[in-house]
Amino acid sequence: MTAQVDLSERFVVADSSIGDPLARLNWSAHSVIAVGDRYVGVRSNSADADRLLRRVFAGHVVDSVTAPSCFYSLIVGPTAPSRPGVEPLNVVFRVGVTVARTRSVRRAFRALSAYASSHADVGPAPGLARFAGVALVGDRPGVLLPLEALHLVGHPGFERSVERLGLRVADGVYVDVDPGTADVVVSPPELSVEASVLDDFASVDPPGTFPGVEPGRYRLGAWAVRQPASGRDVPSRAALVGCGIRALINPDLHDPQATLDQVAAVASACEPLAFCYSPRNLVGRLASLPES
Amino acid sequence: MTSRESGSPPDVEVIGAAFLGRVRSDVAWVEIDGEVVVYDAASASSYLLNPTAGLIWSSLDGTGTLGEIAADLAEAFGADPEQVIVDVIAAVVDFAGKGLIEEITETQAGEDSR
Repeated sequence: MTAQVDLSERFVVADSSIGDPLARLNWSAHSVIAVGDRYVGVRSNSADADRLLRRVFAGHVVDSVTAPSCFYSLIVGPTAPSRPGVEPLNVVFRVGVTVARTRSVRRAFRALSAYASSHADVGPAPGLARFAGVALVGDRPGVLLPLEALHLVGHPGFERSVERLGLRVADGVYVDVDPGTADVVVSPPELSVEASVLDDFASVDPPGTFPGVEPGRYRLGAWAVRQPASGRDVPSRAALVGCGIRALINPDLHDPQATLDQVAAVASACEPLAFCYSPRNLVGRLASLPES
Repeated sequence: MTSRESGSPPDVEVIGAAFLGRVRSDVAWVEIDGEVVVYDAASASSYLLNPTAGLIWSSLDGTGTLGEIAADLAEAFGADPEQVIVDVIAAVVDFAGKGLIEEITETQAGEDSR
């Protein structure tokens, strides 16, 4: 079956069916946020964190609904004594997966905003192809990664490593691509943040912090897939198309040829890349890509 | 008067040199760097064909039997015709098993109108 991101049940975004991998952590509070016609539960590690969350998403908090479970978990602020002058680590979890690990509060909330926005039932702009996946973008040509790479982006040091290569994680579980230009199109998140609340944290952000990828177009230069079992180092572009068609979200079933041609156009514009399932291997492969 | 009519999915048991078939019209495919990717939206399946299978696939346009296709390929590549027809039939049986092609049967128009 064509891969589709089955993010949620109707109306209430439920937790994973495999249980709660984060149950051993201490969750003090939770809030429910409306994203489109969905309700998304977010639990926080402290009452302070929850209060901050409710300020950041002030226009979206719903108090009349109780979340049966929380799809997102948020650690903001100190959980243990930290070194003087070092901001505490903030972590955003999507079910049990770490999707952002940052010492910037602004970055953590913008990541949460981007991931939670994916629950809104809003399709891509006309003409764009939507892939389940993760994009790394920047001033240099970006990279399209399969959705399974989501498990790598939250690894300690991963973001720093790719930033050193001039790339940044475009938060989210799908990637909109313009097949005509092979641009990744980052749209404003459906779940908006109160920027003025987050601005208060700008002064304590570590130097060089990037708060999140800004909406816009970013050129795509490579498309990475898991290294095939056959051991072939570089996948063929046809193999990219095969992976891409399976990763398409809501493909146009009325015109499958146009759909396939869109994916082929993206593959034709990209350098194929294979990686083994480790952050270090992926970063190493990314480092081998041309910078322009 | 004879007309050609697209039939139901072929019976793989009877696919041989005389088989006349074509790719289902609602199956999408694209050739990229010598390989063919086939996308069957109806079953949400996709297939990656190697260059040889891709060549056979792109020949399945309903204008020639498998025997004729094999002869053309054997001539073009200087290959043993007897081996080529075996490969062609095997590939087409595989395509048919995945429901990607349809058989073209010759029927008498007069029979159709009765």
